[in-house]
Amino acid sequence: MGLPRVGDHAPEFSAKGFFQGAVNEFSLSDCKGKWLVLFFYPADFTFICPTEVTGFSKLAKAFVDESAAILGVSVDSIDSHRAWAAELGGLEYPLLSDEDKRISAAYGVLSEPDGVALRATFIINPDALISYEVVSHVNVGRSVEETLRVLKALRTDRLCPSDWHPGEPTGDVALKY
Amino acid sequence: MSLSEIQQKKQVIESRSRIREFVFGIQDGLISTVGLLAGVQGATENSLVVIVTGLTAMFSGAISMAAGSYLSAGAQKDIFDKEITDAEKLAEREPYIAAEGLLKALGDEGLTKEQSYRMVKTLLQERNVFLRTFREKVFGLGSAEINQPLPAALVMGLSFVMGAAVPIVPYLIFSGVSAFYVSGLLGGLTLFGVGAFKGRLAGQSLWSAGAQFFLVAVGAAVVGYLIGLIVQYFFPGITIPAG
Repeated sequence: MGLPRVGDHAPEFSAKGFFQGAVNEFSLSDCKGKWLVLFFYPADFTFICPTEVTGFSKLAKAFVDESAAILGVSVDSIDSHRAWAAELGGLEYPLLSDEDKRISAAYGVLSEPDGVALRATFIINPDALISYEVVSHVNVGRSVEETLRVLKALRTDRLCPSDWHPGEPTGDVALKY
Repeated sequence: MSLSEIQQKKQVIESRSRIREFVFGIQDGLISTVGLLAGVQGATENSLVVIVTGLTAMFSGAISMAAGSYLSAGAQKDIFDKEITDAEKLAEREPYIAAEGLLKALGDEGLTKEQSYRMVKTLLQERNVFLRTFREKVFGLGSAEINQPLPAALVMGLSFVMGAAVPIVPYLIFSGVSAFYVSGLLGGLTLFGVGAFKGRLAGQSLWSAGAQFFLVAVGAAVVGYLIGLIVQYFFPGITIPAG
């Protein structure tokens, strides 16, 4: 399955997730009406992944302030997520278990040879449409700060120039092109 | 096994890795000399010629084998040293990749991801320990795999002399066909003994290990004698002793 495009409806998903000691069901429809940052990472208990997973946790409040939920997804089991969250000292958002790899495949980020998800981040708007997506090689970690910056820019619903930051001028969308 | 025996085991294993040169040296010294002496005996009745030929072959063979062992062990060591240096540079340059590599190696050996992660995380706290474990587990470059050239050469050379001396000694005591038979018998018994010794170190049946060595020796001696017969056929002036 290919990568969905910006503007497409985000593929539906429903999966068990671990969050602060509890296991619950999480789905795309639960997030309708608010922004969702859905990020995929290859695996628990590796040495490159923790920097991103903890990075999102450290800035979780900032995302909540932007009316956004964060969901992390990997192909590991719930038990693995439970142990991984404990190893990292607790996380401020749920980790979803995509053991059957359906969510990763639906979002076009499943790496077939390895059977794990690529590093991918999707920002999904309150209407469940994909507003932003980025996919990188498993060796390169993402910038959580950049994800937050983009989310803030999208929420302005205005034209934002390159490297825009809050407080800087924006443009009327009617002026585009 | 006591704790002190376990702690000494590494040195024992490294010294026992010399078995390769010991077996190779004795086997080559003995078999090549039995075959050579059988051939020379088949071509001439002069015991002095047989003895001088044997001694010459013994010393020249020992030097040749020692030199070859030194060069081959040295080549292997040089390559391994470079690989070890490259492995350590990789770990320095790309610590995340090195950690992931060790993580995978431990997982391949049967540890869970969680166990492997905790082990690598602990090892990362001590750079030298991490590097040593990384090169052993990921690249298989442990100290037991690296053959030191000088000890290898010495063991090879001395083993060759030991092996070659066994079939020569009977020619100092006996003459003619008797010397040949005793030389062959002693050679066979020695090879059986070396095979049994190897079998003991390797936890194998002493009889089957000894028999393996013995059969190889008999084959070489038969070939050597046949060469002597062929020499006689083409040089009819050389007589073969009766019986």
